Amino acid sequence: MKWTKKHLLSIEELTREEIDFIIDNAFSFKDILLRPIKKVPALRGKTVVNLFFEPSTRTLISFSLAEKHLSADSVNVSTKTSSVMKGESLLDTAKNIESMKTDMVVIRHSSPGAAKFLSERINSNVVNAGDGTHEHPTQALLDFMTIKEIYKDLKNLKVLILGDILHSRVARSLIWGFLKYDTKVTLCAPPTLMPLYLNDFDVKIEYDIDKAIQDKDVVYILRMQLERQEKGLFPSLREYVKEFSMTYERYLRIKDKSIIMHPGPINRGVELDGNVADSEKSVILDQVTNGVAVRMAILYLLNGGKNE
Amino acid sequence: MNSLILKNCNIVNFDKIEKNKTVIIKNGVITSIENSSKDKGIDLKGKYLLPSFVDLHSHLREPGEEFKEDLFTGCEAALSGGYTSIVIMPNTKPPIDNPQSVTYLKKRELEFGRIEIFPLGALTKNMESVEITEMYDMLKAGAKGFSDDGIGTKNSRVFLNALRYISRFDSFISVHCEDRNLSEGGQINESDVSIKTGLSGIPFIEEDITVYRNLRIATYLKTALHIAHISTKDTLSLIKDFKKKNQKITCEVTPHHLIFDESVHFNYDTNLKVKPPLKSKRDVDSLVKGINDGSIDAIATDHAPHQIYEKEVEFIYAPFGIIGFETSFPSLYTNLVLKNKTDIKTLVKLLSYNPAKILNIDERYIKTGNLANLVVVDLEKEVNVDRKFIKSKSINTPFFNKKLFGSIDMTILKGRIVFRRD
Amino acid sequence: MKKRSLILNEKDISKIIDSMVSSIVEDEKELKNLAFIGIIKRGDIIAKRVAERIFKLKNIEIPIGKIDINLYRDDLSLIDYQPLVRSTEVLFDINDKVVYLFDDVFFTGRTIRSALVEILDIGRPKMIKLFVLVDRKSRELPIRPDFSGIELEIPKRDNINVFLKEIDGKDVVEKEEN
Repeated sequence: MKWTKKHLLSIEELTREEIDFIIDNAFSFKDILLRPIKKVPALRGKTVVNLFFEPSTRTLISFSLAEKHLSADSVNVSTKTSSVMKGESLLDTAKNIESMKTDMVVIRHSSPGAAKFLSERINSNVVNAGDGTHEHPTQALLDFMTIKEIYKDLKNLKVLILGDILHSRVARSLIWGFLKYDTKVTLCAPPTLMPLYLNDFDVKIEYDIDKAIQDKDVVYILRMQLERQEKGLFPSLREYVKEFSMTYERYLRIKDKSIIMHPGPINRGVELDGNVADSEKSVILDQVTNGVAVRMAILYLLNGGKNE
Repeated sequence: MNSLILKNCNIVNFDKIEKNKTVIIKNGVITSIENSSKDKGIDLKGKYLLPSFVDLHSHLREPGEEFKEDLFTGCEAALSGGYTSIVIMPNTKPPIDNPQSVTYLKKRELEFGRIEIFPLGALTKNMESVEITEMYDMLKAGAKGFSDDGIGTKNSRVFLNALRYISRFDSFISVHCEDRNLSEGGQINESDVSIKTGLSGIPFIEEDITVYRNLRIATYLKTALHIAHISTKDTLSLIKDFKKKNQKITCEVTPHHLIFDESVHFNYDTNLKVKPPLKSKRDVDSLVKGINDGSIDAIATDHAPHQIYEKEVEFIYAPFGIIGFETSFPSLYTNLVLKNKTDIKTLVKLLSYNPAKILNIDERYIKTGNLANLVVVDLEKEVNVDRKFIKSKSINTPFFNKKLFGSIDMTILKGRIVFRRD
Repeated sequence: MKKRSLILNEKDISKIIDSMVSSIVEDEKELKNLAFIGIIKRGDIIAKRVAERIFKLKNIEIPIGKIDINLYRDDLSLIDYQPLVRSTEVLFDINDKVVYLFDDVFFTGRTIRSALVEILDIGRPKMIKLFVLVDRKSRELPIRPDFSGIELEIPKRDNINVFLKEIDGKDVVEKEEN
């Protein structure tokens, strides 16, 4: 197939063929990571700006390494506060940066639509590294790659996504992608962290975790933000762990061939038991490795995207 | 003697259209309406003559935020949209919550000199929902009525007291109905659209919950109450029920709530970020039905200017609100009348006749003896909503750079041409 | 209509493979220190054929790898769509080995330049030699093959098409005039 997209903004806008194509490329890039010299000159002379308006360690390092492996020159702009609070708007920041003749911008931002906003206003290729509670496409792509490494095909796999679905951009990207692959998706969360409107999505909702974990090929656990308790969305950590956490006792009851996934960073003892994270079914660290490969594939492909 | 003759026009009133008439105006009053002849006068060449529009809801940002709009630019914008009479909301910075501020606005109205302004005062001091304002003095200074618009009066006891206190006078009380506990942090209506866009949702029931409390208090006190910018089917049916018990209840809807549904948010256009949030197609359909069956009394713009640099930001940082004076009639005509969802007489009823009645001002009906508050419209002419077309300081409208039918060619206040499109 | 003419048939190709084999066996006393790398998509097939014949002759198995040079192209920013990156597979140590690099057609030398850079990223061979089926004699860089089956001087606009049984079902080299 021919890759024509200039930006990576969401999983929703990708076709299944496009997702497969990215992952096929990513597997080749993964080989490069195993070489003594982990560098290819594909993006030599290209400049990439990593514009991170939200704190992030893993995603920023992952993108930075991907850029370096592809021989791109990259700079990181990280700010904990919003651009508006600093007095300069996102648009001004981006236009200024672009005036320094950059080729690509990787953006992480707390506002849904921020990556799209930018892509409509600057000439650089834009990669969405997470926009508020909207999407986190590269995370989902690395997850699909990790699942394909084990199961080859995603069709008819039984997947459970467990945790704060309502506020999770990862969950949204995963659901869009899984549905394109005809994967059987079950969601499990306390009702206050489950979207009220899911009619447009062919997913199963199961509030009882012990039922939800049965027969699943993949158990995907989301990070639990502790500030949700302050907002009155769940009463206590104790009850959350009891009712919705992947405890070791529950781990022993999942299918033998099942895998445990998590987008990181993990809260040991909150959404999953520390021993589950380190267990043999856990592929959490494979996800991290694949993240670099997927991001290399994305940057490589977007560099050739020519559509307006 | 001051006179004006308009010939070859089609007169539209809320109940009928009369073709090919000549309207003769002397000293600001319509003195006769005749069949067109070859007499002197301004030849309108078959354009439509409507009673000028009355806006029950607008924000002119003065005092305090003159960088968004000031009273003069706001008034020019209103005239260019066919409005000769506008209610302006008190949520300026600081709010209009004292007689001196009302006096200041009335003085500015005189300085401008070509429009009727009806300022509302705040119901509570600093709109904090704690103490009621000096409403009697504000009425004497020229306030038309009262509102805690933009916030709403949170405290039920204070709201009841305010309504009771002012009940000995006829005044226009407009309420903004929002449950802040439910809406806080929300960006758009909670639905599959909010889930897919990731924009946090506001449950639509926050509106009718608050409308119910307000209608209940007004009905309990047997006072008049006007519900501002309604947006849901459920609110409308609640209002219909209460109207049976209390005939002094009225309500309004904005043009954008009649035209757009929430699905537009997939583009993250901040010029469609409004309060109350845009709702489902089902709600939009029921509001359109409401303007046709008479259950909605008025269409009001909720003209809310914000500078482009405030709106050209990430969705969650953009302020709520869009401008509406200039595009009100053309957008309604293009999106409703031309699509056979309503007719022009109904627009006249909700833009002119009814709101004038609600404010208890001169009758907006083109007939002998009435004030010549008129607007000339060219229904065939397309306007391009560009920077030149927009008279406001701000261009925050979803219609920017779009074309609309129904050009306001001339606006007439008491027989005087106060706006004319080049 | 494009005019096509036969350059090499199955027999010719087989002969060239044979002479590649004898050239290697003659040059290298220590066949154990050799490694073959073919450039995807047809160089790796030629490498495999040569290695198989050496195995029959000397019973020595030479390791074969393949590389995809797309990430090393110097025209990545000029082409319209990014090609799919295929896996480079060099699953053995090339340090201090004598590496024979195989490709089907030697044209400008740019592909070979890319391949050389990639090989040097993988390790540090003692020596690299270049074996090709066809040399078009229109190099743009100071790089030339150590062995070529046939030399052709044809206009740049014309194509040389190589077909090999393993992926194309036939062994043919043809010229296509544009």
